[in-house]
Amino acid sequence: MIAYGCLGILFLFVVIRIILYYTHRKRPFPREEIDRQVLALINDRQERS
Amino acid sequence: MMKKIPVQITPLKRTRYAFQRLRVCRSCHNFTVLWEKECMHCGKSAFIPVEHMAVRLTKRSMQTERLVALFLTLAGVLFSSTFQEIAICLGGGLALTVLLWIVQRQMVQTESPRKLSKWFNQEQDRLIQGLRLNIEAAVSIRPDNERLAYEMLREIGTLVDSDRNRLQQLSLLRSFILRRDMDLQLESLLLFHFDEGLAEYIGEIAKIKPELIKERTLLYVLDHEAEFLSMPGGKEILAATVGAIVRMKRYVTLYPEFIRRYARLLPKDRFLRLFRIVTTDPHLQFSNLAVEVAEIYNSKYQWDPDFQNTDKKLGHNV
Repeated sequence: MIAYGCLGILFLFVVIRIILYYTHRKRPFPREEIDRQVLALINDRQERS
Repeated sequence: MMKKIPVQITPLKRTRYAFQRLRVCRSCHNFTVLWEKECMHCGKSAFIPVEHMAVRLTKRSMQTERLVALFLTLAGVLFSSTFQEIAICLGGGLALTVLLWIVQRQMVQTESPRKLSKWFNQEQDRLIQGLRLNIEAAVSIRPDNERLAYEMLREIGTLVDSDRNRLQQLSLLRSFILRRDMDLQLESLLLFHFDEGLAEYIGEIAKIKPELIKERTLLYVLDHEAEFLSMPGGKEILAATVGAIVRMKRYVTLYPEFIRRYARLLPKDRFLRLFRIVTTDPHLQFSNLAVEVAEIYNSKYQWDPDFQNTDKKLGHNV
């Protein structure tokens, strides 16, 4: 029973990961956003210091 | 007067995104925007571009997921009581792990930017620390090698939005003999406040590389026109700026009043360009600029052969 439980958890884990991967592929993370984020991280900290 | 030195400035390498200029040490995760081979923090030669690091982190995270899958498979096998259960758990577990692996292989490039973004958030302190080390390196090298110091500050300036950095670059540029063939910047050096050094730099750029005078520079000059006029040589700098912007009809149409104020100080070739624009544009023909241009034409260039070939509509209207 526990064995099948582990298999079930593994199955859910793999299915959820695969769904997340395909969702991420449908909505790719734009590099422009990374650029904005990095510049904000650097320059907001600069202002505060 | 400061003695200027001739220098050969290395052209700035352009990247599509500013973060692509960053490299990270594989060993200590120190960041750098400069081009040193050895890490200033740990001394190792282990720098890689941040995007490569993101791919490594993504692959590592995916490997962890596969290990979790294998662990669950193993747990299932260990808890199995019959051979059938062992076979099902082992077969099912391995099949699911292989499926996960196949999907992961296709998703590395999609997942890397997301991983990179999360990683930057986590490594913010190290990022700032790395840039601080870069700034210190540039400042310390300045007495010995001004050209290198300028190139380092220029590189740092692509990420760090700081008037202090810009002022340091400007003070170095003012000590160089500037030439047209140099890879010079202007818009990235614009300050929030008026600065005479920047004003002089704009004046020089207007003469040697007028194509660098664009909208933002023009707005800076307009915002601080009174301060330009109050400095020695300020009027000449404004006239040089006007001389640079008359190269584009668009600027003449957008800023006719500014051009009108300094049109009289333009050299002949620049005035000829302005004259041609004003006489051929029906929207400008009855403007204050056109009146000023007509006066200048009548007083200085009425008999100049270079102007005779141009449409004389404006001249006839006076």
